[in-house]
Amino acid sequence: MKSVVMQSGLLMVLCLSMAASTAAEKNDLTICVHPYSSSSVLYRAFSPLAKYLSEKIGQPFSVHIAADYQAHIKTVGTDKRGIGYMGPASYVKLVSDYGPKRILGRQAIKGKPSFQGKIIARKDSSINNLADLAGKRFAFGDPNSTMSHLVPRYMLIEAGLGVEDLADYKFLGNHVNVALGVLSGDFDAGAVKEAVFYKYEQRGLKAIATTPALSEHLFVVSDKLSDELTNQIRDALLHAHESEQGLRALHAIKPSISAFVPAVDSDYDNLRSILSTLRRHGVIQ
Amino acid sequence: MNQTVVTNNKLALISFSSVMVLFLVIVDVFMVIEEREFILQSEKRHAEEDMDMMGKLLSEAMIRNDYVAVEQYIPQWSKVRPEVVSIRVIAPNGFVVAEHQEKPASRYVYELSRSVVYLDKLVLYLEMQWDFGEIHAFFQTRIVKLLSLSGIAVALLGWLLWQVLKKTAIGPLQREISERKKVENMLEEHSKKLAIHVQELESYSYSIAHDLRAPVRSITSFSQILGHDLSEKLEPEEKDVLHRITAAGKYMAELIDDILALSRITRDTMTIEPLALSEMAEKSIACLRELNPERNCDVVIQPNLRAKGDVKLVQRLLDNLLENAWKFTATEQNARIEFGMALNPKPVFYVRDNGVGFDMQFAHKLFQPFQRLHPQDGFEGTGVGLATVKRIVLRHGGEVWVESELNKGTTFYFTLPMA
Repeated sequence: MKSVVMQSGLLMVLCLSMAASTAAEKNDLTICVHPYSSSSVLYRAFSPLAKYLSEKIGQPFSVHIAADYQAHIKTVGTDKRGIGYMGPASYVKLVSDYGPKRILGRQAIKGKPSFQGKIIARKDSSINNLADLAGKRFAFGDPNSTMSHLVPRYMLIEAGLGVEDLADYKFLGNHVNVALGVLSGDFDAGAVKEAVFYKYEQRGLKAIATTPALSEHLFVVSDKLSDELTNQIRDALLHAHESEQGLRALHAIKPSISAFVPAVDSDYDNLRSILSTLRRHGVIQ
Repeated sequence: MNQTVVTNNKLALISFSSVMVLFLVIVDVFMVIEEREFILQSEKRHAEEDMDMMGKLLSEAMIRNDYVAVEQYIPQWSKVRPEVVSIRVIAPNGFVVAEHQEKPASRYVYELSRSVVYLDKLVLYLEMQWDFGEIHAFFQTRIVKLLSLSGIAVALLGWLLWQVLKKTAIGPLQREISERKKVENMLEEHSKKLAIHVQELESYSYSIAHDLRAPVRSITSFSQILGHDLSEKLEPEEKDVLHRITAAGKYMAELIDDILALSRITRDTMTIEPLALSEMAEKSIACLRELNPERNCDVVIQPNLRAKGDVKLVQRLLDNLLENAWKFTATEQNARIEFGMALNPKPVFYVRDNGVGFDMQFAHKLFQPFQRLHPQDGFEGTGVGLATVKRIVLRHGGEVWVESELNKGTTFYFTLPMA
């Protein structure tokens, strides 16, 4: 069964690669996506948007899934024809490595175009602020995760704490593990995104700190596309939530996306500053 | 008789079937309960194995801090094992990491809890519940099925046995009974014929005796007249012959009278009424004393003896027995006659004397007509008296017997319906 799934996955990747090649050959517009989930899931998530934009612009769009985050930044940065769906950290790196890019819009989750995280502890814990974390066991999510590692690490640094000041720390892979690890008493504190905190708050969690609000995921456009075409695509994306087809396409990406809203590069300055601090302290390269 | 035998057999068969059903019920219930206990023990072992396996899986996930995996295991597990109605994974600090709860469908819930330890450290505490209601329901259904089948099997067996019994045992029995009945009917028919013949014979005897009476009396009377008229002309030898003719005639008349009396006992209808036996015996003795006033005989009669019977016949019975005792104590200087009642254990009347008695080897002859144990010239009588006694007692449904010893006395015992 497992092998069948793997074979199907490989076949799909091949098909997608072939589709991408074919699209390139035909000068199709591509939607480049970073691999934050499996290729098949991402293909299903972004195909409705490709179809929506194709119909709106009058030019065919195809979906391109990058092999990894670095490749994705490179693909978008080297101005392949099309648009790129970027995570906030990836966008900062993109601009840092390849210079400024035109922003089409950033996503708003339930009307909010920014997201936050929480530093959590058990309700019955004596930990009430970041300074109390010294000598405690701390749970992070994924090392590359913005809200379960990078921003919390920045906050610890700002509070004068390095990981060496903690009794122990561990990467638990995802936000839910962090919440349950803290609740189970295996860790004294941890870092999770807001949604996970609210989900487990009733079971005994409290927030001892809230991260700065970071600008949400965004779409950037290749420098090779004309301003006219760029404006057409931006207009279609920013008004997608107004049509049934457009909203369905947004929900396919993430059900909680309410719309894409205008954004400027300075919206990501606080993240840029955070990453710079982390880089300075050797947390990231 | 026939119907009773069949009913008895039916009852026996029903009893047998009932015992069989009871036995099968006990065996069925016992076996099913034993099997159920075996299955339950087996399921409990499986539950413990499940728990061990689950504890291992969950503890591995907990050790690598993969709590999401713990959360995911629980619904997957409960989907695969629908009898598991409750799973709770509890962290050492008491936090319920994951749980699955559903309402048990029955009251047969089996609970297990276990602490999972890794390297001397408590990793988690696991609580699980299984609903064994389906097992109990299955065995309850099985009991009902087995009992129904046992009932049907016993009913069928009973019916077959009944058929076999009818052919092998009851059939021949019924034939034997009907043959016996035929024989009984024949015997009854013969008895009736015999009774008619006896009655005819008795009537015939009575007629003969009755018809003989007049000529015998004529012979006696005329021989007496002849003796009286010719007393001076006849020689002494001729007088003796004539006297013998007269004596023989008298004896013959007495015999005829006794035969007629004996015959009347069985012919006459009886009127049963309460009798005062003591007074009746007094009456008999008074007659005897009147006939023989010179006799010195001590007579003891137990007072207030009561019975039921025909007054004429019972009076004759007492007359005969007391007269008999009177007669056979005639030679005894200290003659003594007793009439009383003993318990044996039923009430038995007796007439006892200390007369000449007789040898008991001739006792069987005593109650037959015309049988005498003593010579005619010693003690008078026709030999019909005791035969009369026996007939009277038998007509009243009683018994009569005698005990005697030569030269010491005789006791007659008889029974009568009691008042």
